[in-house]
Amino acid sequence: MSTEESMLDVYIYETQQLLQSLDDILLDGEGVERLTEDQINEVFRVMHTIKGASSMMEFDEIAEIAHATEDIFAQIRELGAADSQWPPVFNLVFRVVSFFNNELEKIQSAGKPDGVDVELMNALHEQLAQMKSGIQSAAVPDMPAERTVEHSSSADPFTPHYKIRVLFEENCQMEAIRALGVRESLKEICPYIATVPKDLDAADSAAVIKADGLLLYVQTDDNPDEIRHRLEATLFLKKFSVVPIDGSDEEVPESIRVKIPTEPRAVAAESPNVGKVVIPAAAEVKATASSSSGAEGFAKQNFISVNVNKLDSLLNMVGEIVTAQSMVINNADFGSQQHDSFDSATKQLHTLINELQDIVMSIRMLPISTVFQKMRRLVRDVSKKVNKEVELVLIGEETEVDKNVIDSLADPLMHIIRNSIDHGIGTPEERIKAGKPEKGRIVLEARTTGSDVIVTVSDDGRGLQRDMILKKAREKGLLSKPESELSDKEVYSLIFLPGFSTKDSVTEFSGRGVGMDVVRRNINQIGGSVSIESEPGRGTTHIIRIPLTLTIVDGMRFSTGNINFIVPIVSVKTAMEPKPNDVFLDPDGNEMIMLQDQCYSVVRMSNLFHIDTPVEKPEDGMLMHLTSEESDFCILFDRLDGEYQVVAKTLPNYLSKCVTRLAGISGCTVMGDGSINLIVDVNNLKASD
Amino acid sequence: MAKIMIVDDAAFMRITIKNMLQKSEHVVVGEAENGAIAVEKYRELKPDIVTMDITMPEMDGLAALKAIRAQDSNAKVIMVSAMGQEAMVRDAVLGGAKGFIVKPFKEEGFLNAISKLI
Repeated sequence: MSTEESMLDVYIYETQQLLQSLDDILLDGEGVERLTEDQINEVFRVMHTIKGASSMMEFDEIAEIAHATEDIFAQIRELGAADSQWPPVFNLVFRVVSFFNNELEKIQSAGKPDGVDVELMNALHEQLAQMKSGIQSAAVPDMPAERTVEHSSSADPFTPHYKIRVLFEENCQMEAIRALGVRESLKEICPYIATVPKDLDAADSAAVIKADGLLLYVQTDDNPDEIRHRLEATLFLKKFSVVPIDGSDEEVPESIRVKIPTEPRAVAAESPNVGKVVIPAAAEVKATASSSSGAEGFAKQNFISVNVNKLDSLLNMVGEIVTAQSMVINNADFGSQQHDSFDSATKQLHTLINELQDIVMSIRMLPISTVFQKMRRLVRDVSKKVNKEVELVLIGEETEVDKNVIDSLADPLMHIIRNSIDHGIGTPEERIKAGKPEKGRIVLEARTTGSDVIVTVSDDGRGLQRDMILKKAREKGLLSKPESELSDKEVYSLIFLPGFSTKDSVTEFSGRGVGMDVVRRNINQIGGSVSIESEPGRGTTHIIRIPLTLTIVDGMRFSTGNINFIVPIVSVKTAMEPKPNDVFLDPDGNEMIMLQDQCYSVVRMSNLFHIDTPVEKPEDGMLMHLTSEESDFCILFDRLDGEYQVVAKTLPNYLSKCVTRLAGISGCTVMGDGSINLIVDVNNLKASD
Repeated sequence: MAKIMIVDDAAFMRITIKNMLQKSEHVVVGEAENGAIAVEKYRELKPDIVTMDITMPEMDGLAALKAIRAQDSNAKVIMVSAMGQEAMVRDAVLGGAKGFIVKPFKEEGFLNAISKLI
């Protein structure tokens, strides 16, 4: 990865983090319709940081909007904001955050952001102008008055020894302050310094210095080389000259012929400056406190950020180690004898590798709050837009899941929550009529069962309307069975069909992709599943189930013909050799088997995947009883190979276009013997029948 | 060849500056993400030059500058600032910063500035 690429990644990541923290502050503050001093400072700092970084990356439109927002908060920091000003300020900053997030997305996908949002910029400027005019500044003078007083006091004539001319580099910025810096650096060796322009703090002095340079008349007892030495060490100084003044040689302006000592007394006069902010004093107090607790400061740094690519590499490496381990343990060279010492060594190896695997997986785990918190902002925006009041309750935020899962959950959750607010939750009037509290409630919950993480989104809205769904499905020609034969559950699952939602039913909030079928597909892609439960009039619950370990699979290897498969052990109930006549035909001609008084359908792997195999009769092959979310069933195959721990890899792109999880294959793996095995997705295996 | 400590609360800026310095003959001896940590690390690392961001949480650049100069009156600190906070830059200059650089800046300008201080 080139340096530029990784800088962009860092910029995007950090800016997104900052924007999320900004959203959090704003959401908290909007509730009480104001921000605390700390929060105001935080917003100011965030804008300032985003401005700086964006300007470095040459994303000027972002920098400009950040600057305009920073100005508003600089104003609030110094002079506060009236109660009535807070709501428009909140709205504006929310808009700014959205604008930035959009721009970042554009940068990530296309490489460049769009132009400035002129409307937003104008709104920000207007807000600032309003706030400035609304506040009667306690007439604090811009310039320290005392300095002028000193000018006019009767003083001894000042005999300058040297005339110094300084030119700064073009566009070095803040020339007046740089001039101040030059004067500061000469202070030590020059008890008297006069400058042209006279008052470096005057508003126009920067322009004068930019055009004509800076003149200094100094008196010093030191060697002029000392002066030159210090000027050489001045940043952004283009050129300078130090010329000795002889009474007769040089025209020294009258105006400077007054002793202006460079004593600290003049410096102290800077305090009435309006531009100054309170922070330094407070920070200095904190400084003494925190420097004494410096050790604690270091201890706080227990976290580091790691590039996700490194973690992916680490995980892959662990996977390869697992495969290599299995190549050692199952090595053909050993034959079938007992090797006690070898066995106990490999047991140890196995234990260690499992531990390593656990640790690596845990590194990639993040609390699900990172995605849950994004939903707060979404709920605010959507409910405002559709004029409904909605409360979001988050449960189980600390639940940790793999980073992949977090990344893949955001879009589906947003879609589901939008739907809930748009269609599920009724208007306040409707809700009151139904005897519900005016405010709608959405509960977003995460919890883990041993092998999965379960995320539920429940609303207390209208619930799914069977009639409306049937009507839509009918209109779009999606019904395959007569309506009366469909159970409620089957009706609800119609919404997952592609084509159920079309553009005209999509509100402006639905982003990429349309409909619950995209949600289902996204979740399936990470190995999960989504289902929906509903009670008309009471509410709807979406249940998302995602496996915790994505990559390393404990599986049972079997084969049909010359194709090898792995099925996750968790899905296997039993395996057996069927006896003749165990498998029979049902009235429709489907093969079935009775196991412990239960009837299960039998799926032949050879039929399902069109594999040639000499095995015809069930008693010549083997059977496995598999369990899935939908139902249990049995598969018939040729040979059973045994239990293996494998590293699941996704199918290569060209294959995954035609062979997908929906066809019952979730990925593939390379075995210790070099063969490629297909990993079965039990949830979708029978569906592809 | 100077020993440099980078102080900025944004990882982006720290990495940017570090990348620029890595192409020069100078050495980055440490980083800090706020003024308090900067003051501690200065004591320990004794860098030749410190690049100091102005706005940071916990302790800002101005306070850190003053604390460091109180420790070491020869400390060379360059303030790094985005446009617009002139008052704070002014205070820093008057507080003993050897100079300042304004964002956005390019590598050449930055390295020239550093070399002037050695």
